[in-house]
Amino acid sequence: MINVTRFQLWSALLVCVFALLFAGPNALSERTAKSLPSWVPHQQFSLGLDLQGGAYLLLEAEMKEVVTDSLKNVRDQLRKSLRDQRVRYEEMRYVARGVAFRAPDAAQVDKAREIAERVARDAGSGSGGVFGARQQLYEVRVEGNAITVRLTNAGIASLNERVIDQAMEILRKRIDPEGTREVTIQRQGDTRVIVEVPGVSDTAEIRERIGTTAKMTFHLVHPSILAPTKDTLPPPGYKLLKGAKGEEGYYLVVDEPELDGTHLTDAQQQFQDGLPIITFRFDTTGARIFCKITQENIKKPFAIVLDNEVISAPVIQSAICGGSGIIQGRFTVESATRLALLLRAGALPAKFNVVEERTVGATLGADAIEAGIWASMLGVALVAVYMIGAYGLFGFFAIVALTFNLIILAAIMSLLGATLTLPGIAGIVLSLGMSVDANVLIYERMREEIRAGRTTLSAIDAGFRRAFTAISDSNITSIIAGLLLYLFGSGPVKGFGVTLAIGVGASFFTAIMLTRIQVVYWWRLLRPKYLPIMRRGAATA
Amino acid sequence: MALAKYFPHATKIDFVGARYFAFSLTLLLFIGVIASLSVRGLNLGIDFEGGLLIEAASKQKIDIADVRKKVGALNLGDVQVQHVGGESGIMIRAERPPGDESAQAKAIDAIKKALGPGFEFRRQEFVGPKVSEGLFRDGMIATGVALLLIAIYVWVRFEWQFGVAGLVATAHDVTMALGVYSATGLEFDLTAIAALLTLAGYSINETIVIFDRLRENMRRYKKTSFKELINISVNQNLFRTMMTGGATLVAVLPMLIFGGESLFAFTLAIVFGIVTGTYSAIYVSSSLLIYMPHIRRWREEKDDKGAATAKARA
Repeated sequence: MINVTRFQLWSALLVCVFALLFAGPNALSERTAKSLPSWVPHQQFSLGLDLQGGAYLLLEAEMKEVVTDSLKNVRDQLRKSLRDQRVRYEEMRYVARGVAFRAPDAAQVDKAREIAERVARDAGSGSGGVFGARQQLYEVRVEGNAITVRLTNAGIASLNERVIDQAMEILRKRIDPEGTREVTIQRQGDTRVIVEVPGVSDTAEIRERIGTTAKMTFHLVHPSILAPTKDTLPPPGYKLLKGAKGEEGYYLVVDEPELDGTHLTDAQQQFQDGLPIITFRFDTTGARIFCKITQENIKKPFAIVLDNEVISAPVIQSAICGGSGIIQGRFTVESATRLALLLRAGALPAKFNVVEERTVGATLGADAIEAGIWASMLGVALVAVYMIGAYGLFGFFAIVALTFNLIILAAIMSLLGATLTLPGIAGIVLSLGMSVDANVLIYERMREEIRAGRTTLSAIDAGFRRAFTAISDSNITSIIAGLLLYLFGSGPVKGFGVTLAIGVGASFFTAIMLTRIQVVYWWRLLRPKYLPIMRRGAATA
Repeated sequence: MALAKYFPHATKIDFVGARYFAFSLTLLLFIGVIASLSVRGLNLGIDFEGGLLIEAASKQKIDIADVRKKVGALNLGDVQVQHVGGESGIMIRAERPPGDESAQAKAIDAIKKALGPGFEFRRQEFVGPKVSEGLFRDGMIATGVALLLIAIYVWVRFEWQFGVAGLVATAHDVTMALGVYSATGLEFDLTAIAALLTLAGYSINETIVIFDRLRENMRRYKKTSFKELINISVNQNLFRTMMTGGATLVAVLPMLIFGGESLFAFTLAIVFGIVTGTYSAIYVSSSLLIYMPHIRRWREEKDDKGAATAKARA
């Protein structure tokens, strides 16, 4: 190991140069780094919310309603198909994750099963599974004359995935409508979404924006029962809805909406007679449907429903075919502005609850980063004094290697776009200690070998060679710990795991390669009889 | 410079001979830890317990009794109020405010309102019950899996006896650190799990360095007794152990002093881990090997043959 091949030397130098290049932008201010030409490395690692201040919210989708909706669809299809094919059925009901019914006529069970299977097939299949094969979302089970159509695990997974996929986009539009904030939205697990908003310390507004699904629908109202009470039993095809906040009373509306919010293309808060209202615009399909309904239902009330509450039910005065309309209600300027924003962003596919929230004020973050930087710089300085004090020139070599260890760490973190957190800084400081350990192992081994009677050269060689297994074994175990922290940890702990694993990995290279190159070239240059880590005369060479 | 040259070498401390003393010390500490864990338990943070936390600062001195009265009127269940960072800062923590997640979010807003103007809110957090359970479970899984994987790695690189010994030693250190959290009442949160895993990494690092030397010596000195081999290996590594422990201590010490409150518990656990890690590498993992059955003496490899004969026996 006393030889350094030209290839090793050049590749080590290349790694160092690249590390410097990629770590470099972090020393610049954010704006300068962004103004660099694109061919120059300009990526910086980002600071965690605990360092720059901001809000972290963990949202969970309420999947129950989504599942119920999708089952309702299956039930309606089953009823329709069975009726069309004149198959008798009874006891149609919801069971856990499915719909069940009986075919009392024994001769018709097979036919009923066929129908159920077709409904299950039509209700959807999703891609998935190991080979991307299409999987059934519903399965049909027959026991005697009892038939059950049930969501499979793949079905639940597909519902979850669809809901979260849609929600992520809509959440972004709601929280960051202008697209100017650096909002991070990521999926966590099956039904959760992490939202991170830097620079925000009051989460009340964010919670308002994500707390409602904002599902808007337009319904016709029952022609005769115009003032129902909460005890009114809705006739078939109708449902009873409450008035929104400020709107007294109840409404009997047609179960199926005539039109819904998906056809909206724009919504704005405006004023009419000094009161805040919302103007909206439909897409072409929406405009056509709206035109037709308003033509056919003049002088009848038309209910505008938001999340199952009736905002208002104005009486249609004339046909509206221009594709735009207005919503009046008991709005304040604030609530109208927010509702317009929510309508523009679209309805969330499910209700989302905030299940975890963490906010760090900007000053606390600044304090933390200052303390962290001071502590780590002081740590590095102390380690330098310690190592040079103990091993002299060789200690200096170790510190050079250590410095490059930090630079490589910064470079890799920038390349990965990793996030630096406060525990992450602690991880870096800790990996300093681990990194010096490799040098200590090598140097102590050299000292032993010289005492055992080796020449300087062969002691250097043996020091590197024999320390290698201990260094690699201990580093690999540390990397295992770091990776597990990354896999199972959340938030700041994840950041810690990343920096620990990268730091230890980098130290493997620097402590062995860089130290070796330095020691070898030092030896070639001076051909010393003694190592700086030994007392003269200790060697028996 | 290069003070290392004046340090002692070829120490011949009889570590193995003192093992019964060490064993009783370990046993005593272990009983203490178990007692503390069962009587005092861990001071679980909101990460694992659920609940809410608000940290606020003011330009003036904050009257804590006044804050208690204001917050107490909100009926949030068990609420703790204490100063942080001097008399102009407070931390309010409600462990299990009644109601679900949305009630907790509302409780935060209510507290902020009740405190009135003049406060700067430095930190506010709430963790819902469902999440905190998950976090605790994930943390425990991470620690368990890490210990296991590390043991398997040691098994593959050495022999199963070494894997078991390493696992016991690491578990020993993690348990001791839990004891420190329990005895001092330091908050046990996600960062504490990170500290435990880091400490496990450090501890196994110490153990492996000694194992590595032990393996080498087992190949070299065929006739020396196992106890003697352990003594030789530990003594040969003694200075290295001190140096590395010292370097790591020196690196983390500024964090302990200047790192602020959030890193204090973490750093303290690491400092403690450096001590127990060194201790357990000698007295738990290596000593356990004495009582393990059938440890194979590695076959002499060609590479080591020359070196072994060239060397005088220690």
